[in-house]
Amino acid sequence: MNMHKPGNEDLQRLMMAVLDGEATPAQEDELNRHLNADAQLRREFDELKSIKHTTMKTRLTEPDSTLWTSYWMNTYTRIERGLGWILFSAGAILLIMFGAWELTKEWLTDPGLPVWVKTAGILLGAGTIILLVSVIREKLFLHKNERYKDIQR
Amino acid sequence: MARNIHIESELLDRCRTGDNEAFQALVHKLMKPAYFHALALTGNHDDAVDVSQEAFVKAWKSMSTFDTSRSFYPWYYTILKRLSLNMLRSRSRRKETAISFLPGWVEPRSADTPESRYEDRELAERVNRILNTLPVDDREILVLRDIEGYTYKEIAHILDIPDGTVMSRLYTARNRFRLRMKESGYEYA
Repeated sequence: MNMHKPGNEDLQRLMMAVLDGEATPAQEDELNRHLNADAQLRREFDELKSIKHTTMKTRLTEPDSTLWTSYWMNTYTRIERGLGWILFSAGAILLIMFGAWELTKEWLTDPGLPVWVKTAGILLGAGTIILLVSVIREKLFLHKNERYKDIQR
Repeated sequence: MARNIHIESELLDRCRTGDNEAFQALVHKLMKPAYFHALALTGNHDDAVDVSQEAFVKAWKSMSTFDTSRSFYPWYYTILKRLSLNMLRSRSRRKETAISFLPGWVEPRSADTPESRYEDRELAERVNRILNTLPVDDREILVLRDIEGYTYKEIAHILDIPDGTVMSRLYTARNRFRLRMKESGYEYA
């Protein structure tokens, strides 16, 4: 088919509509006029028709019927597990933060520990927080700028 | 015949309020189209099960934000397609089995005699091979129209695109399919 022909896209759509039985009689007549005037177009149309008949002879492979009987249960398990993980993570984060706070409080107020050990501990804690924030920020940045994140089709 | 994807607004309203049984009914109604559409996108049974179920989980979590005056399935399909594309991307990143080497996901519709059964099986294998080499968008629209039998209106509804775009995409997909079939040695009658 001549890809530079004016109104080419309309012709392609017309061919599809006729092939799929979605064209009006007037559109079918219009396409027939084009087909009669262009042997190459006629050949292309016939091949497209053949392709359609070929694919229509097939179907998507049926899975084992047990898939349907267990489908909801497996979906529900995913929902349940997702909720379980959220609750588990929230609880764990709160407990870890509380534990860290209590430990820090006790450690900093302990008169038996030398000042330099306390200072080192504070530096270690501050460094850990900075590293953690930096990693989270980097992950967020990468997520926002992920090239294919929004690809839908 | 195309699979029914219509969900009554009453059922959607119940799902929105967090009604577990309503959501179960919704999943029961849509699991087959969801699975088969995921199969067309991923070309693999295990991935299709995984992606279609995960899309239901995501839909359930976002149900409160869903506008029940709109159709559910196109919204669900957007999630399904995004997850499928992510799955394909991560599969290629991990350099896992290329889609063309996965077992067949297309089979003959019917066969009357042993001879035609053999011919149809061979043809189905060829269709499967060619479909696997096509871009996802081509595979998607070919399966929806020619294998699943949806009308233009239904495809436009599912994919949330105008009818004219359905025709253009169908032409592109069928034309590419036609040329690949030729390249594979297929002879048109």
